[in-house]
Amino acid sequence: MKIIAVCGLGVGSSVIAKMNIESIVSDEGKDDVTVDTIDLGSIRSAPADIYVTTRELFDNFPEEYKAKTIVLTNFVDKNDIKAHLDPKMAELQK
Amino acid sequence: MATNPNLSIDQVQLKVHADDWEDAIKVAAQPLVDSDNITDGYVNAMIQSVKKLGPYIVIAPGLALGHARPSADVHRTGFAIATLRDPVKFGNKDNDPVDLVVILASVSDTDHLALLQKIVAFLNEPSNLKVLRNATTSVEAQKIVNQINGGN
Repeated sequence: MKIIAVCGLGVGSSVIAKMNIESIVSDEGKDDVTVDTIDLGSIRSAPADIYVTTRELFDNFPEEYKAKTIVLTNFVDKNDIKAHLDPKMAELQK
Repeated sequence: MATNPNLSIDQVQLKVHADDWEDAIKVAAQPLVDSDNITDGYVNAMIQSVKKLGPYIVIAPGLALGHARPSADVHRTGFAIATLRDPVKFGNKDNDPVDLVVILASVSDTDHLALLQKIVAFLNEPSNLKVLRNATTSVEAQKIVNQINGGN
């Protein structure tokens, strides 16, 4: 499974999201998950199963990507990230 | 030369005043300008990035991550942290007002990752955020810096 964290520039918030998501999936023992980061402008060249972003950037997402996207309001709270991420990953594994 | 992946106490400011969100970024970044890690051009780039992309840099309640793309305006990779005496609004629906600003400046897409990892580990703990927000003295600042650099 491929997760991509999307931020405006691809060096700050998306990297923090990547670090926390990697830590979460590692704790869950999921070793088939890879996490990358990109800036929003590159989304069409970066296919993924799940995208993670902020509310502000989500509004600018191409429509067809929105259903695959999780909106996070807190990039440092791992419990909050997990609460959004786990149901989405479970959906994909059905 | 690889960047020394440590936070310096000179880059930490506690309970400083900022007039508004732009000022908050300027004030928080000033120690990195003073140490010649970054130029004023980088500070402007951080502000322009919020104007262009929106206040998404407020990545958690009350926490803004000021940053721009790596560029020639970054001489050395560095981080700065400032807590604000009077919180300011960035225009973020979920996470305003901001009372904690972290400034990230990197010479490349990867040079900042080691220290960012340590800072993220620190910010992951709600109790650490509380300690940081309540800190007022240089002794407390030093303890926080030591904790971040120690990676726990």
